[in-house]
Amino acid sequence: MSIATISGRNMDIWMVLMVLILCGLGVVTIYGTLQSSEVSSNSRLHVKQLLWIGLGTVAMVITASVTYKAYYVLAPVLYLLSLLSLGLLFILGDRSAGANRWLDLGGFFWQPAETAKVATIFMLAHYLSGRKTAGGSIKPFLPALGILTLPVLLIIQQPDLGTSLVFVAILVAMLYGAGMKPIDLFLLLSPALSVVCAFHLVSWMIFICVLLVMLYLARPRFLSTATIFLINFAVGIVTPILWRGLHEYQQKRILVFLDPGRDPLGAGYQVIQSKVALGSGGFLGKGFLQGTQTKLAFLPAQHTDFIFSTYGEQFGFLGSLLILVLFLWFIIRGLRAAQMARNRFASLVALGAVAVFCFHIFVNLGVAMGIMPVTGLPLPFMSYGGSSMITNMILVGLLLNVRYRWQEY
Amino acid sequence: MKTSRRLHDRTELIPLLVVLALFFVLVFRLFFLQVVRAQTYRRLSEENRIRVIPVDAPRGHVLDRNGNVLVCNRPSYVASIVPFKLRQMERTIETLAAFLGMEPGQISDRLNESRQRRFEPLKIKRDIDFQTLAVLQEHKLDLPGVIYQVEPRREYLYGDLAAHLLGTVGEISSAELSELRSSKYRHGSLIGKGGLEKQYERFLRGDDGVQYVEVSAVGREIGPLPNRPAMEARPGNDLVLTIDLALQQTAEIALSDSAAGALVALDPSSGEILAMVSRPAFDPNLFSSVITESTWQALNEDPGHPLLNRAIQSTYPPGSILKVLTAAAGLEAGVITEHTRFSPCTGAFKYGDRWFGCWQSWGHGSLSLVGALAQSCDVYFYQLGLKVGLDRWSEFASSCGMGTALGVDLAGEARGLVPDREFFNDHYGRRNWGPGVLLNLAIGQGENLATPLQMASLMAAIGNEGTIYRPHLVREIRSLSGKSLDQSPEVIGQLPISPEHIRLLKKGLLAVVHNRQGTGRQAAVPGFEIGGKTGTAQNPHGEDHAWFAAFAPLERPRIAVAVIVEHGGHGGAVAAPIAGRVMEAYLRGNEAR
Repeated sequence: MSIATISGRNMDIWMVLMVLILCGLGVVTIYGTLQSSEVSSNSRLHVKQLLWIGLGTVAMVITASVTYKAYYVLAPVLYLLSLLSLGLLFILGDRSAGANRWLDLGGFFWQPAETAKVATIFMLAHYLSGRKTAGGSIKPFLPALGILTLPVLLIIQQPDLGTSLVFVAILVAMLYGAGMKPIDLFLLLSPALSVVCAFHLVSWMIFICVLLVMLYLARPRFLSTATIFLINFAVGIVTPILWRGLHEYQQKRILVFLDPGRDPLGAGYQVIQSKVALGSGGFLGKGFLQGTQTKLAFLPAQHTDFIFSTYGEQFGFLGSLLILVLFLWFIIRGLRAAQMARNRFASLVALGAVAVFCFHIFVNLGVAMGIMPVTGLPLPFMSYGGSSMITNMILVGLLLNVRYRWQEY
Repeated sequence: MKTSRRLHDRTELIPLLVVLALFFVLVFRLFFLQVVRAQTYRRLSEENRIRVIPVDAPRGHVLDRNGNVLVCNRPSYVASIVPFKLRQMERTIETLAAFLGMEPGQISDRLNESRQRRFEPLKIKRDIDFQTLAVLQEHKLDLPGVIYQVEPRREYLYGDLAAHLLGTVGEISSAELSELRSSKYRHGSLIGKGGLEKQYERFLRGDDGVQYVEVSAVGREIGPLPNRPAMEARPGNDLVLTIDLALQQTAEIALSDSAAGALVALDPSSGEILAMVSRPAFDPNLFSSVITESTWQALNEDPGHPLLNRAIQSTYPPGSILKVLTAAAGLEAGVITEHTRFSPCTGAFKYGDRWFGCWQSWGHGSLSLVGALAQSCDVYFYQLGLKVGLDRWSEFASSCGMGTALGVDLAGEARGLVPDREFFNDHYGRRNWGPGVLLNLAIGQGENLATPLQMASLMAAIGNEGTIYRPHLVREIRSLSGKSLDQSPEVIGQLPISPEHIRLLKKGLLAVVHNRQGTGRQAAVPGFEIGGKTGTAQNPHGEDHAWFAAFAPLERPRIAVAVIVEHGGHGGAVAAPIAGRVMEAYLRGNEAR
């Protein structure tokens, strides 16, 4: 299969265009952050980002070129390899900084969690596409939970809460795509909800009541009902104990999200400055390179997690809206690919990829706008970073691949 | 082949709706931030990048009548915190507290006090010495958000000299700040807390200036803002006092042996106060930087009340000085003439079934008015008082200004008291007092009360043939541009005494100092004619208070003085020499000039 073929009639050239526009805006914004008064002026991150985009594009083309049937076959191998690389972090990782997410591949730093996303999507799709799931029983989906749990456990140890949650989004989307009923999805995820609700006795009581109603409506077999209920109950009791085991900074992030006024000089500082940057941009923005929040370094992580705030300060509501429209359009086209695909594996892979993008976009922008806790997730295509750029391009390649071969079984 | 057989029909609508809903939330939030609240966030981002550096206006100087500087400002260093720049709050505060010798709690309390102003430097410790400054500079990196500023600090060049009238300055309190509602003040501003500093606050305080500086997130100053020029600070006005520094110094020294007392010297031709001393005194410099709790407590709880300005805030029975008024009342009522003589003084006087003693227990014999004043014969004035009568006496004393505040330009002036029929009825009940009270009033004892300032003013009025001027301390308010506001003399009353009677009184007062038997001989200044009157105020707290009030020279007097030494004993022995020294210094000083 040559590049000439994939640029043919079925090629989703619009998606490629949108992705490249977003990448371009990212480079421009990264360039802007380098004019900040507090950054040494000789860093040339925008040039490096261009390199990542180039490498990513190559990865995208390659991913799009290989027929997805190959991925179906390779899925278990890739999955095991990614688990292995995550495990390697434990052995090679230098944990002195409190968080270790990178593997040094001879001067090139790679985040195994990023590749694990792709591999897990493959593995889930591999498994789910082979199951008959019309019956309505939860049982056939339980192994999927297992497939997900392994990498998540390894990543949560890093510790990287944000990326772990991406996997949950992948699972939800793909289980739904595989035909699981929403009520079953609820029951499956109920332990996670139990965790969230367990922080307050009243909310947990309400949750248990809702769970009982759902169990009554779904009416699974007695054993399943009892198991689900017991798991939820146990989780609700264990959570407060685990909470104390969390890193202090993680606790703080959650608490400060619930009450940003709690620490305006610490973790809350980032959110406040991000909102100030966006808000002060106003309708039309302060103009390129005119963002004072950016220039004077009030805004943290300008070229990574908070790149949207930097952008929004300079280009205002109109400019921000452009980004939102591009992302929305991109997501819709991704969903369309998932719908069109006749192959169950291909459809599920596309759905997983869309879930990854959706989660990243919504959480990153939500953080920048102050409606989400600070999770440290990059914005696809725009945030600076090699691992995430290449992974995202691979995922785009998968979407192109599925769309291009939609007729194949 | 367009009839796509979709594997999962259910994937069509719901995921799309979920995605649209999520994006709708984002757009809605974005609209709220960037359109609805844009103004607010624009302001916040401005505040972020602009550090408003207030520039304290130098307070006006205070000078004496000859242009000698009494109070000025000198540069001092202040350690401040910009709360917004604070990082690792607890540790930084602890480190800073250790360097400044403070409790960490004090610093956090201050930070809490001005919660809203996170971008303004908050003064933590004023007037730090060079060594501390060097230490702070050295540990700059451990103290993010800590800066030092230079501010003018109030300096009272002569220490406790004239402390009571000059007053003090101190940091504005939260209560004062909310009460004033003035944009001229902010947390850490200095404000006059007492004396002239408080009375003339609005003149002394200038207008603070402001500097706008663009700063980066780590607090590095990028430079001044191009479109916002600094607002220059406008210094306050200078006060030129009526005080004569040399005389004030003499008076301070003259009174320095006394544990407690006061002295006031006036210019009888204008009411200008030439010197004002109150003992014990304090050093107003203590208040200029942050006053420590213990210093404040010591001053406040000192049984000698050093913060009290006895010259205007304390009242005493005026003692025999008031005999001058009784004499004038008798003359004006026509009950006596210069030559009237009463029953001779035998050392005591029987009224009803009670004996009223004279201070001279062996008696003065028969005296006319001048002799009675000179020797301060109580028996003479008992009889004169009875002739005048209570109502006439009270009314006369009141119309001479007794019992009324003179309106000096200092806060807290006491009124004194002239007891009358109504007063006795109120205090003792209608039937519980007799005409005997008048005997005590006529010689200035009993319920009479007056301030040293009132006594000086009375002497000044007699000296200048009857005009009462408002005593005042500020001669001129001088602005930097040279414009000045003159405080011209203000006549507030006239003694209801005819010129020939005043001449007669003067003759008596002259005899007090110059007669061989005069009680005030120790106030004499060779070469000058001095009129004065001693007083010895009985009081329930112990030894009598020693009074002396005088004016000099007798004709066209240039100075009037009142001195009181608490529990000093006889006025003639204790107070008169002090007054004499002060008058001599002034009269001779003026001659030399």
